[in-house]
Amino acid sequence: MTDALTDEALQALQGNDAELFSAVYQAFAGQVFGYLSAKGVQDPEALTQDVFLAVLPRIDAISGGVKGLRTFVFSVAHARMVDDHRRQVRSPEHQEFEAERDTREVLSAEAEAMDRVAPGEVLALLGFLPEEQREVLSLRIIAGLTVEQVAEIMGKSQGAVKQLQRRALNTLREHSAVKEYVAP
Amino acid sequence: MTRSDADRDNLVSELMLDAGVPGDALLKAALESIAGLSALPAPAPRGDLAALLGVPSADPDGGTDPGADELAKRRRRKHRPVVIAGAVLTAMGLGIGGVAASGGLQQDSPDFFNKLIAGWAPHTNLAPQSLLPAGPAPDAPKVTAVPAPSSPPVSEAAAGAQGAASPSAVPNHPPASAFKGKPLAAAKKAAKARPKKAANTLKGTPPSGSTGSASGVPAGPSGVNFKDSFEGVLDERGLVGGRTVEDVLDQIVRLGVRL
Repeated sequence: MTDALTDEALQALQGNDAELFSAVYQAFAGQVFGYLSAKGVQDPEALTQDVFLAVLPRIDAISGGVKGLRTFVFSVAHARMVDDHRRQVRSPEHQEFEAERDTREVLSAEAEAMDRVAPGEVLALLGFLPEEQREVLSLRIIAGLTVEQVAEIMGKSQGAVKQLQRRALNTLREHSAVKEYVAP
Repeated sequence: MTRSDADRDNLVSELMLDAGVPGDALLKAALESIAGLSALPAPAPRGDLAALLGVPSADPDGGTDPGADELAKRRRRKHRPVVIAGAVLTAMGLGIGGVAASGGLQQDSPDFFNKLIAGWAPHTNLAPQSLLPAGPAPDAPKVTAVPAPSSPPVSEAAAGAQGAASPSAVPNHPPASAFKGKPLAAAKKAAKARPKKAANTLKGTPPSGSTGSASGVPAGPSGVNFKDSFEGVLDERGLVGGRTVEDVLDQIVRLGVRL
């Protein structure tokens, strides 16, 4: 993987907050948005903005260059995702039926966004996995984190993370839906 | 920064190697599809984040997001009944306040109604005067009580000359004695109010078969207005000469007076 935002570029932008913030946002916002979408949060776009509102003012305090910044960004994203899931569990959304909004011939806004950003089948693939396997897989191949970084974010050992990713891949292999999805 | 296809391929290959399933093509294709979520475009910054980045906000108010505009329209539609109800209530309040401020309801009601009925006078029909009482019906009881038994009028003697013929000449008119049996204070007051007029009428006008003229009621529209006539006639019990108003009205109708 080649990052356009290198350690040298990050160092050069120190002191110029406007350009630094913009470069960091452009480098990670899409991946954070994809990660949160894969995790099934209620409003991925709004939560992505919340993540960067928390990250950008603290960039100067982050060490470790681009790698450290990536870990920090997805640590915040992971924490926001967990909060969102807890909120959904505590207060599931109940909305009154409004006839004027019952336009069955068109997709819901969320479904439309999902179709626009990614095929629904991709999210369905992740839906076959248990929560922790899904989290490991998302952080590994969507966020682009190493096993060490994923272990740090999830608060698990690297061995546990490797075990989870192995189980996740076996689950996908055994599931017939995977074969149907990749079949021409 | 967006990850290239090669980067995604490297990530997936590394993951499959760690998991011990490096050669599964179907699995690799599925994982690459999942990894494609990392290539999503960055959402347009809004609100505080846009200010932090120094870029224009993509808020719904700015009109840069058609989906957000639709949401704003729905919110406005949801509040429309409340806005309409508020407008109607405000208009009603202004109308009531305007009427109250104009004093239209604060006029002196008694004066207003006095003016309204001051010029009122009952109509009489076009029947021959000889068959009709000249005055308004409410005045009749007053006048019929005038002839006092203690001072028989001069004309009574003259009337006596005609004697038996006179009563038959006025078949529709009730005898004056009809109201004499129960003299009322109001009737006495009315009699006192115009004794001269009644006496003059009785003196100057020989009986001509019409007790209307004999009762002293002036011919034609009465000068007494509607309000005064009832004040003088109704007693404390709301009766007229001991009769109910309905009875009196029936009598008036029989006399041919059009109300």
